[in-house]
Amino acid sequence: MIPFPVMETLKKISEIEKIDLKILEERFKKGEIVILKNKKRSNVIPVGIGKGLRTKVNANIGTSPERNDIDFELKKLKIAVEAGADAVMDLSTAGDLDLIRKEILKNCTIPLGTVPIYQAVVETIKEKGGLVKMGEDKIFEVIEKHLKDGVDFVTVHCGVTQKVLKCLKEEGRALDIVSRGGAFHATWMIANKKENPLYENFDRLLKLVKKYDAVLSLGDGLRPGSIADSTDRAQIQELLTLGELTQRARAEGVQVMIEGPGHMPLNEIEANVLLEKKICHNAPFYVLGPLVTDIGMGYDHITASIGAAVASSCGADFICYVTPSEHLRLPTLDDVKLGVIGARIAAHAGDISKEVKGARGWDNEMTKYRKDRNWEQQICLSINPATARRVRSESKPTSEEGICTMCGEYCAIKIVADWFKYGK
Amino acid sequence: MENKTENLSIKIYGEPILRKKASEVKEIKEDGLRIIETMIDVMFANEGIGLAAPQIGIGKQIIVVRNDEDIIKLINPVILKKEGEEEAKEGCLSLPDIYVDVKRAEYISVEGRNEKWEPVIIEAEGLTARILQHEIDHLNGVLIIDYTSPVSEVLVKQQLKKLRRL
Repeated sequence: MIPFPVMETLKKISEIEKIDLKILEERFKKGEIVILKNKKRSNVIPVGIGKGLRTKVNANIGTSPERNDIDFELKKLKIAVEAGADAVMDLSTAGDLDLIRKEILKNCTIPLGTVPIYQAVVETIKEKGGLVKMGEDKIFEVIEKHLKDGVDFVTVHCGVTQKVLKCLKEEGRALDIVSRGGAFHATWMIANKKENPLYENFDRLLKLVKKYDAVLSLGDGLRPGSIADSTDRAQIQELLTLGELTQRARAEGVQVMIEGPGHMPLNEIEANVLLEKKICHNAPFYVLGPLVTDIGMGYDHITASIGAAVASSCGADFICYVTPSEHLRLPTLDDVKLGVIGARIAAHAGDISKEVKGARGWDNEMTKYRKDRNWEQQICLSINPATARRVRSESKPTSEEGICTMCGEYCAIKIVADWFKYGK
Repeated sequence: MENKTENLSIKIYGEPILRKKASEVKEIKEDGLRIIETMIDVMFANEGIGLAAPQIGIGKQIIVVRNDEDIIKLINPVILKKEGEEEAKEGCLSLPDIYVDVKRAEYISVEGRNEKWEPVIIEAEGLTARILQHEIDHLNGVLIIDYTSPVSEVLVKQQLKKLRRL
């Protein structure tokens, strides 16, 4: 007999997340929890995503035609991991894409995702001069290459169908398509007057993904890029398609998560999470933000974190970070750090709200040391101890250690501490 | 060395020996001990947690089972008692890449002989009980695919077809 490999992984996750193994197994079987770990990967700690588990955070890295430096991307990877990202995605679109992916995989101890259509398109343009000339096999070949290398989850825009594009065209949008993958697919489909090959040959895709125990991340090519467009027909039509594909994938034993918005007013987030959970039969929800306003340029890690906190509290399971450089440039190292930490705070705020095991305990610990005015322990427990330590050291109180320069001797906690201790 | 590799090869689904009832061992001599050692080697080399002699082409009632750091070596095993029921996924070295849900007893006691030909009774629960039942099944020509539900049978059948072609 050989043990069911997933069982070993589930055991590991149940220990990490302090969740009952039986409950975890049941949710995994139902598809409410997915596990990011390609069969081929040996250097990765498996990550569980879904109902009852800690909300996870993803950081996107990767080259662009304007900034193409593999060492810089590897530095970003290091910083993302140090800042506490649970997964990273390599979205490279310039340089030796195979080499970059392999180098990232080699140096990455957390699950890695990719968007294979990027490479398929970049290479087609190089070889044939235009993305519309891409052969249908090309995308499948690239997907297989990524999975073979050990990529743990792949974003595929299977839901960008002719029907969805018709909805988009007829209803109209303020900002039509903002997903790169969505735009690539739409361009190809319109020019070739054909259905999306990933939708039409979905079974072929399932076979590939299953072979490697990888996770399909069903992309949202029609995610709104303006709060004016959120929850419109195109977005919902795509979601309906993803619901159909979720069922088909599960019937074949393939793990699925669903990607979600995007730009969206705060008051629409709860409904969007509910819709995803209902339509996609509780598949884990992987959201990009959502960004709750369009005007946050330079501070979009905040715009996104506000939305992510609400999404997470309503049941979103996986948050893709947004950095301060969103809409402006390829992120710097500092941007990556700020993005990850912002998303982690949002995810944790959501976890407290939806009562994820252990979430509140962290805050309770912090409060204990705050009451004791023990800064060293508070710093150790903080979301990013290095930052907290630096900030405090830059403004040390002159007299006592048990205060900070915010209130000095008028520290409220300190003033009442004695009375609460001895006053009874 | 080449010879050894050949001896170590695992019989894959399709080989008739996997469906035959293994014969009772009458006594254990040097060659019997060698079989047990080989079985342990094969089990470890393939990251198995249990192995039955028919899986390496020997139609005798011998099984080896990993029990934490220990290895249970059992000859002519017979299940005396079964209690409780638990379903879990199992894999089998003779059925690569196939995992099926199998309902097994949670607790069992098994009687047999150890490698020193001493009569032993082993009581086991959980995973160890499961492995023992899985390996004893092999001695009766039973494989995990015999437990598949009608729904997953279709899927498993496709995989089996592939295995037969190997």
